[in-house]
Amino acid sequence: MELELRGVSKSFEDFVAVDNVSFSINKGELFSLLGPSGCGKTTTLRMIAGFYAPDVGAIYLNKQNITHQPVNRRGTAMVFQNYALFPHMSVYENIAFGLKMQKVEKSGIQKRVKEVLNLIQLPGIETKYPKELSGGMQQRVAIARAIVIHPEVLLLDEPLSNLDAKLREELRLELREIQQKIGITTVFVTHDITEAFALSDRIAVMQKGKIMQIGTPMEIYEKPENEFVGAFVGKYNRFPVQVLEIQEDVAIAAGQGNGLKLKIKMNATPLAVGDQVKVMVRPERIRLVARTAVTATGNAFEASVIGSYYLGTQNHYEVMMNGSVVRVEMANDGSPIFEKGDRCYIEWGLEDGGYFK
Amino acid sequence: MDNNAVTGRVSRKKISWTPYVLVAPLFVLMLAFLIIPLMNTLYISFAHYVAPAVYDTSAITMENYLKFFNTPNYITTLVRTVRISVLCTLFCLLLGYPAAYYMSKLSGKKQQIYLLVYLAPWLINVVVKAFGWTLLLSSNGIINDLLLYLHIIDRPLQMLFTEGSITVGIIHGCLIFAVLPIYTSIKAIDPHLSYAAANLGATPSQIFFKITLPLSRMGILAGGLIVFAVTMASYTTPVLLGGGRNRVLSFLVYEQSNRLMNWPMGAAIALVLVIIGVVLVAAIQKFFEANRRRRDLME
Repeated sequence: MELELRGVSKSFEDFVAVDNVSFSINKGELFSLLGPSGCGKTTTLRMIAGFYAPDVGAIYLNKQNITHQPVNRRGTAMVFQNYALFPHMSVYENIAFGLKMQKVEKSGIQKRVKEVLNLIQLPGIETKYPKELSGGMQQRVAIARAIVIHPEVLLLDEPLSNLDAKLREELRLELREIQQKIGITTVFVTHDITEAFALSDRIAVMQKGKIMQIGTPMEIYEKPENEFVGAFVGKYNRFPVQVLEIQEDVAIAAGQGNGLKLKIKMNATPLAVGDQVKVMVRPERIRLVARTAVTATGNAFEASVIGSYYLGTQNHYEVMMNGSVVRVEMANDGSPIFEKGDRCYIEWGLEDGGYFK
Repeated sequence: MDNNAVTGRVSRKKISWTPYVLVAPLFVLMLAFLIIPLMNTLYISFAHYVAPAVYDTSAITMENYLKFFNTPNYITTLVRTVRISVLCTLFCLLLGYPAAYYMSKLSGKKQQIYLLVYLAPWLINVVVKAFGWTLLLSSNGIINDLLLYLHIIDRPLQMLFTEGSITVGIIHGCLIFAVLPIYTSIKAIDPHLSYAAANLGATPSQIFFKITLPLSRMGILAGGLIVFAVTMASYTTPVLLGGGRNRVLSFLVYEQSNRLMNWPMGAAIALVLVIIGVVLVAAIQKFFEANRRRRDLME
């Protein structure tokens, strides 16, 4: 375990920014803090960097307690959202800055600056100034400046948010490649779900200062542990129901007053008769069919199409089922497309849905 | 605007009059009350003095300038004026920078109060300010009284009517001119830069000397030039706090023009003052420009 936070909290006056956050990151892992604005992810990152001290809790790097180490002696290096390149210094001087602070001798600095410029695929720009570089180039220089000092942990504070969409995707891939190549433990802060999913080994989803779930992208998407995580990382359909009876590991539940009857496969959280739960099914797990055959092994309902959207690679539908609007997404695999007004069935297997109490 | 496609005519860019209209009033003012009088002064400086308030412009003569540069007393005064200006500039920058730096770290209300303290001297008339210093510095003033009372000295110190008292009086009034531009340039520095520098291993003093100071250079230049120019032209403070033995060039101009009514001489000395001032300011600026390694610095 390379980096560990234990019970870290931080408040600013009355506002609790970070609330009892704990997690541990393995060496070489790219770990993301994902959440909406104000969820505490940037504050947490800043505490790892040492810009703020936690009110409570401790931070360990390589088993050493660095909670109160000053900013300039922590073994972390940060890349900022607005790059924060020194405008009065050339690219060479910017990158060399950290090495100069470490008192590396001149030939060593030259060698390492050259190496890192090759790594970010921008050889030969040593004499240019930040103002002369494009946003993408500036960000790469900022990354180079951070990794050239061989930090233990690389901290990235929404580094791609200031770039346009296309550049963001390109740089995302490069960033992952570089990170894997040098095997550096990385903490990545973002509010962009796609980014977090594309880059991370594991993700911590945060809300209002608390960690809501930690897991791999697949775990978080397929098995969200609470409604917030489920709703945050993707679209889903919600069915509020009450459990009527239980048959082995399947619960039968009914919606309030709309005649809906669902089968739910029970997972780690057990259900009892009378429990109110919210069943969650993702749009891509529901199938829109003309005839259904899964009545016994899954959920199938009659529905009528009220909206059909052709998106090239996918078809998105809105259907009316038992009084609620259900969203369905299907890949365009050549099967006939349903139009508005068509009557159909929607079906999903017991494995395709989850629930929250 | 461009109707090429329709009529096939060559289109002309419409001249925008707005900038000229906006600048015109100030330009007219400057022209009427600065440029033209200055040109007039230049003209008179080449005239021949006949009698008080009477001069002959029929022939161009250099006699006033020659007289100026041949009079040791006048040269001493010129050197004194430049010396005081340079000293005031240096002190205002040395004292003003830390003040501006501190102010930039304050927030909201505290900052406003702090600013008010530095602006306060300007709420008082310059003559009243000078008399305030007189009360403090004169032989029977407050400081001497206190030192005598405490038996630290047994004879009053001569503090007034020296170059020192002029310098102190001017610094008192000019400090704000150094503080404000420096403050502005420090405030304009991206706060993330010091975070980044610290993160890369810099101590607070390294951050100051490698990041903050270089990036506030333009503020230092602006503040320094303003203090220098204001001090060169200063009249009331040097006269009231310097006395007859420590005259500055502006006083000479007054003496020649208003007392002796020798307008050509007064004009010549005034022009010497203006030109020395302009040349020095330009030289300092050029020096700063040459030190910029590239165009388009952040500021």
